[in-house]
Amino acid sequence: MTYMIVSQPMIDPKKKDYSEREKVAIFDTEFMPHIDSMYNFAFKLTFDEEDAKDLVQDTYLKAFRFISSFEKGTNAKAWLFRILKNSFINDYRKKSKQPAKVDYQEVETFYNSENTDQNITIDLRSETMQNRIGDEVTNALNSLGVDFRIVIILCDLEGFTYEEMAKILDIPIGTVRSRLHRARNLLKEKLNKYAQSLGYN
Amino acid sequence: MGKDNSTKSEGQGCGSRFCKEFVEIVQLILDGEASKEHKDRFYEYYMECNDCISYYNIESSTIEFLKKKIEEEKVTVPVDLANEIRTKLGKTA
Repeated sequence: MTYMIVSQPMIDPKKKDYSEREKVAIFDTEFMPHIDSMYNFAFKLTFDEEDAKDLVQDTYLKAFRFISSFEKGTNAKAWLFRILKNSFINDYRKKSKQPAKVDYQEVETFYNSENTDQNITIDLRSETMQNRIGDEVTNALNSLGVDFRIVIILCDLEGFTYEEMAKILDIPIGTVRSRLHRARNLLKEKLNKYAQSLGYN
Repeated sequence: MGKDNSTKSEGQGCGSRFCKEFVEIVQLILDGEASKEHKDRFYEYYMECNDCISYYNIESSTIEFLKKKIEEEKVTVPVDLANEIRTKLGKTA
């Protein structure tokens, strides 16, 4: 007597068994409304329109491919941002002709320094000061290392909570807090230097 | 730059305008992440320490300004991007 061994497919209880129609509906109603935010995030990571388009396209294609891992009605924006961030770090940055703008010296200094908790203030309450320094904000932000730039964008532009940011970045909430604090300190330090160069003290 | 709050006394500040605990609480308040305990602690500082009030006002206006500037820098998504994605999806799905 012979027995036929039939192997059972691996069933992941978390994976959803959506029909093609459901997949398209989720894609159109839950994923596509975030295309503006996704493109802005991609542009702020790549600094290039074509590269940003490619990154967003790539992210949406991946999102559709892995749509069974997404539970409809949950936080689609955070899920998409996580895919985009991972695509940028893992795939895109390696392929990019331009080297990633990661200032390891800057990151290392801030993560290892005993002064990581020090705080930097810059008084931007006066309108004159805001007008003079306003144009420099973009330069200061763009010159931050990518880890610091990402937390500023996620929090200050997209309004993600610490918990959402922790999930997008795969880091503990405490690290989100400290990284955000350090990112803003770096930004203020750069703006402070610029203000001083203009004659403000 | 002291971190000792034992010097705190009414109207004289908490011993440092860079008090670590207050700085952390201010970040949580401004990011909308503060718990009730954080808010209570914040008001304790706020009521007793002039330097803390000044720090909060400066930090609050700085973050608000940075958010405004970053928001202004938003770029417009290319009009054809959504269609390009759908076309590619039609080919690969």
